[in-house]
Amino acid sequence: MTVRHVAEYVLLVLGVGILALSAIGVLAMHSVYDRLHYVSTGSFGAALVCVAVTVRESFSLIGNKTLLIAFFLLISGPVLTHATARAARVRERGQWKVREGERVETLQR
Amino acid sequence: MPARLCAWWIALAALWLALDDTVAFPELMTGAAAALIGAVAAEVVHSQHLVRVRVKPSWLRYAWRPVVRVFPETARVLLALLRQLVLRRPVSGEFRMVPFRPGRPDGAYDMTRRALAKTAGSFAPNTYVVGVDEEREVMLVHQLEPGGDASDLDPLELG
Repeated sequence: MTVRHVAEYVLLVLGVGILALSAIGVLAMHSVYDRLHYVSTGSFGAALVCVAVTVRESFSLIGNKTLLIAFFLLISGPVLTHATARAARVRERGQWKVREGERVETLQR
Repeated sequence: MPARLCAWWIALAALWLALDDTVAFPELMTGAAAALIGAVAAEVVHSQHLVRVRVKPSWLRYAWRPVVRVFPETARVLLALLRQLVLRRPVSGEFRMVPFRPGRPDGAYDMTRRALAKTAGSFAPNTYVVGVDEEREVMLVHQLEPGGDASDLDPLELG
């Protein structure tokens, strides 16, 4: 077993493990806002699986394609999370902005 | 306009070739047609002037921060899940706000700055940005495990 095989298996096990836990997280969390955090970890897990494929196939057409997929997953994940959270707040409260009386901690710069 | 349409067509056709992985004639024709549809759609969207992108290179000086934060924050979020499942300690996230200078609503630089702040702030799993409130001049975020300072909520420090 070469170093490359070890790296490939480590990335694959990590990626699949994170994906499985993310799926459980989506089911286990109580509110939509908490569940959305596990969608992000799912994208990261899937990206690790893509990197594992690239390590196995090297920078071939298949390897490059999986890297491209990983890139799209990592870029589109945050945008989808942001848009879904905003839509959830609009559905729940009529607007996404903080209303008077809603207790939200404000940090200072 | 034709130059931009051609540029879009070339970029999309190249993407098709990279993903399709074959140069068989029917596939090439399908790719050319799909790229043309995509290029026309991109041109139509561009002509509406809904989105204008202008980036200042100095905004990207902390671009490494969201990427580095992915690893510890993934561990943090997954540990929170395990705590809930194993120790039966319920996890409940919180909304937090950080001061954010919104700038002009339709200014190209300010639109890009807000979009970058939202994307970078939502990159690592423990935090995501809900929006930038122009009236109150704050950015609203949600954290599963509340913590950290303003630079954790706005990692590129664009506010």
